[in-house]
Amino acid sequence: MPYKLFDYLSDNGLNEFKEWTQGLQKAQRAKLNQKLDALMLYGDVLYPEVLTGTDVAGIQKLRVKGNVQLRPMLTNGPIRVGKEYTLLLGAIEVGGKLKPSNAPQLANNNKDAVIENPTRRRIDHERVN
Amino acid sequence: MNELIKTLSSEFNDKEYAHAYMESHAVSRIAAQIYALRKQRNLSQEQLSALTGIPQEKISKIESADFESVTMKTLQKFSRAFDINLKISYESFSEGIKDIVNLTKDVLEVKSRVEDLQEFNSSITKTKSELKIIFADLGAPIHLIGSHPVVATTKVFGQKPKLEFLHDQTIERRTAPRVVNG
Repeated sequence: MPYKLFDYLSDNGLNEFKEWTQGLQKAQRAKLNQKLDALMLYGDVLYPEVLTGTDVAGIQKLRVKGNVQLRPMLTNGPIRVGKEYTLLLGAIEVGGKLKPSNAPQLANNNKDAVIENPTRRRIDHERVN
Repeated sequence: MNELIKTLSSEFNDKEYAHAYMESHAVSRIAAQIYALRKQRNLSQEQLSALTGIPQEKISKIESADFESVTMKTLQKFSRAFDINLKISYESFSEGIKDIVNLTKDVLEVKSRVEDLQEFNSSITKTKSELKIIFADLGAPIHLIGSHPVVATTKVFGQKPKLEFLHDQTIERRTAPRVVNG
């Protein structure tokens, strides 16, 4: 695969992104997997607008349409930039506003934790099921 | 890649999941192709808007896969602006899986009508000249119906010869012309 995906791990080793996906309905999980597969296969080369920036530099959101607008936060890298993405936080968008409202900042904190200790604070992406 | 193919073919045993996944893929694919076609022609979204009559904001939303539905009329407007054929068809899920893993920029880009037909016509001419060499010594003359090369393949006494359109595959398949009672 051209791009490797990772999931952020909390301080106590919990895969919070995976936990967030457990609350999603089947169709939402399918759509999320489609976007993540596209990201893994092609990055933002073929689908340049699938990822959009946030008000925090280096933090992007994946856009997944549906009854609930999923906006998982992620970053390119942050260890091998251009070769991997790390999923940092689950978030949704309601009426053009993110929930949690400070999702990009929280994601950035998680990104810093990954940079500080990449072997302990992230694992290979666990498929959403 | 093979791992993903296996994963998808297993996940697609669930009908609801399979349809939701592929509907999302269809939206992403249209978005990616319109973006690729616009870039191939060095057009800005504003220029494409002027060509299609579709507002630039809507083009931006379509390219961002930020839509749930797009009308046939809108797709036809893009097809006219890019001067390419619009093909809409159904396919099996296995074909869908192959499309997911085999997508490239080259697959998404399409030559415009004029350039495409020039190349197509030159390939037909080339085919005809190649066929002349193959069939010339065996008395199976090449004819043209419109711009398509044809050859008389079955010439039976008292009957009109059967004419077959010739394509590259025809040449490969045939080691010698089938001229009966010729």
